[in-house]
Amino acid sequence: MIEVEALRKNYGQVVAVDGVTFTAPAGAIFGLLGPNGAGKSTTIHCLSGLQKPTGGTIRILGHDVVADGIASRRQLGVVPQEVALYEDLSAHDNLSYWGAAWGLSGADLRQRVGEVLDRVGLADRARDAVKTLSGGMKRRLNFGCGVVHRPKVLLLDEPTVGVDPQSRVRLLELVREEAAAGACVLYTTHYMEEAESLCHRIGIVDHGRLIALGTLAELRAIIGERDILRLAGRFDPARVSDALRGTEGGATIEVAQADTANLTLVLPEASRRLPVVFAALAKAGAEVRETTLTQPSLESLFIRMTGKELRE
Amino acid sequence: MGVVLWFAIPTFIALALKMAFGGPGGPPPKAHVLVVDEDDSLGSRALVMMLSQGGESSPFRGERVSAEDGERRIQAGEATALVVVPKGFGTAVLQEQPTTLRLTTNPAQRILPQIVETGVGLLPDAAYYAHRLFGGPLRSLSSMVDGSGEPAEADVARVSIEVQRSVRSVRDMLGASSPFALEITGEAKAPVAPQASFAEAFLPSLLFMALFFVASSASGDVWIEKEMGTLRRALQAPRGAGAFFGGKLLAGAVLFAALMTLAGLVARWGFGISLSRLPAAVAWSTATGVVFLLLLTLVQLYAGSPRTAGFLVNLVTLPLLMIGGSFFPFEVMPEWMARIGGWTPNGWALLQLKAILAGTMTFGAFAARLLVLVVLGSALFFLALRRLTGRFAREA
Repeated sequence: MIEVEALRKNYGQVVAVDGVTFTAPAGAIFGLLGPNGAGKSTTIHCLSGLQKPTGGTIRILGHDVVADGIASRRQLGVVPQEVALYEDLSAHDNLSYWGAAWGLSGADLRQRVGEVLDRVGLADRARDAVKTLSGGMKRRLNFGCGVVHRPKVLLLDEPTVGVDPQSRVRLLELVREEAAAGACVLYTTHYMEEAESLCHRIGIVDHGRLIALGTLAELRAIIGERDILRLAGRFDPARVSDALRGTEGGATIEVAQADTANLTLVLPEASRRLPVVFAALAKAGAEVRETTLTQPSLESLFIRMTGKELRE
Repeated sequence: MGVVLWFAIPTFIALALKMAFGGPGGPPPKAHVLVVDEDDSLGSRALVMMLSQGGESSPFRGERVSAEDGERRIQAGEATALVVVPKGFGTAVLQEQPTTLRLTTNPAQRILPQIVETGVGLLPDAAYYAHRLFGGPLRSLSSMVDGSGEPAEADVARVSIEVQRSVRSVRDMLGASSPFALEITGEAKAPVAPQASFAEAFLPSLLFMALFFVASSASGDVWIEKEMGTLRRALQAPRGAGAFFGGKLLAGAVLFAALMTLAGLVARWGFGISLSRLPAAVAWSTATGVVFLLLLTLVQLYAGSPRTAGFLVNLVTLPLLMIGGSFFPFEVMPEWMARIGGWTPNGWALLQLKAILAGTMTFGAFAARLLVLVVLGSALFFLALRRLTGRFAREA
């Protein structure tokens, strides 16, 4: 478990992290979402002991990262944004080196290195120098080096930046596997779709401050975001509007766009209210051939909360 | 690879110097002179004897050979020079008539043939002055030796008296007692300042040059690790920056110790370094190497980029090497420069190494100086560690 309370990090007059507080439980993936420069990496660096916080406290499995740094770091696995490997060494030797750096040795180290090579799909390239591997392979090995010592807490700092789609999918699977095995995973990203598909809880940071925190559903609820229902078929826009207004809670249904072939509705809890909507459309003589229900995205949420787009 | 290269360059220089000048452990190089005596007279035999029996101090090693053997061997490059004494040489010299010595040198050698040329070139002058002093007696002696039968006792006595008169006249002219006894005895007993041997002058300098180059190369590791991203990962390991940096220094110490042990054994073989002084010399060189590594790593850590770091390290390294006695040994420097060089960190350490190799440093003095290195190294370690975990890591 990660417990962060009132974390603050200053570089001279510049405040990089400003009073961030959150808790990330074991067996779940906590996403830290925000644009570049928002303070995500600085938070990770403070968690990993790379930088000393200016204020606040961080506990990793109950160990304070400042007062009990060695014990807290022993529980940590870190997968940095950039590939951090010895290019002249083999995949096997890199895993052995980093495993040993985190305290593994002997038969346990050898066994674990073999397991990780299998997991990241590099068993057949184990003895090849890293410089001969493809970019995707290096990324997977980079991940492997972060988990070779079976960390209980895993910090991933935008591990999929610049990764090809296939390797990205595999990396995300590996992250899910770690959480499923009981690890507490902290995942920073500026990719909305990754956070939406991967994280159980999400914290949104901007300018060093945590501006929103919760599950995806809770975040949507914070801003009252409504679902988007797109319909294709044959419609009479005037009759459809009248019919929808006459349904239960019809005042909350907004017709965003309507013509004879397409209809876009914005309404809360759309999935629960689909039967009512379809009944009203049938009453209005409409014929529905295709339906798409879209829940509000983090992107729109971020825009609502900060007044700006999430930039790369 | 870089470390090997940096160690190999001074080693190559040491071997080249060894080949050119030899070390105190081996005999100085001598010119191997083949002599063909076609005359076989008193004069020619004296010349051959002069070239053949100079002893250890002579720059020549003469060998009497036949004309055919001499020609074959000089063509095969087996000797430095071939001197052919023509028939009638002795008589011509005694009669002060023109004659010629034929000298053939080995073109594959550069310095030794010139020594032979110079030496042989002095012979006409020697012959001229010998004539001025002992021309009469020599002619008499020659006719007696070359003639058949035993010389008459009266003739020997006459020659002896003539020689004695000549010596007396020279002595009176110079206003001294015996010119031979005076010159030779006086020179031999004159106090001579002890000259540094090759091992004393050059070897420690070259070892320190190698040490500095290896430390310079190894100090760039922090930038390599930073650019690979492994530095940040290493700093996040449980033992953190102290263990990482300490491990680097330990690896450096092992490398320095291995290189210096190897160099010491080579020096033992090539230059006659005392085996009993090697452990202390290796320990001192290793400790010095680690301090150099710390110093240059600190310079690297304060640079803004690898390129700037390389420039700064060269800026520190090259002047220190030049004035600190590594490029030019203190023994060949002007006194004022050597004095300044002795105050540089590497110059000071080099002087201690020389004292260790010369056997003039006591154990107490050695321990005290080692303590100075430990204190200096500790201070540099904490400064470097502070920088490594501070801004350098943050920018990684």
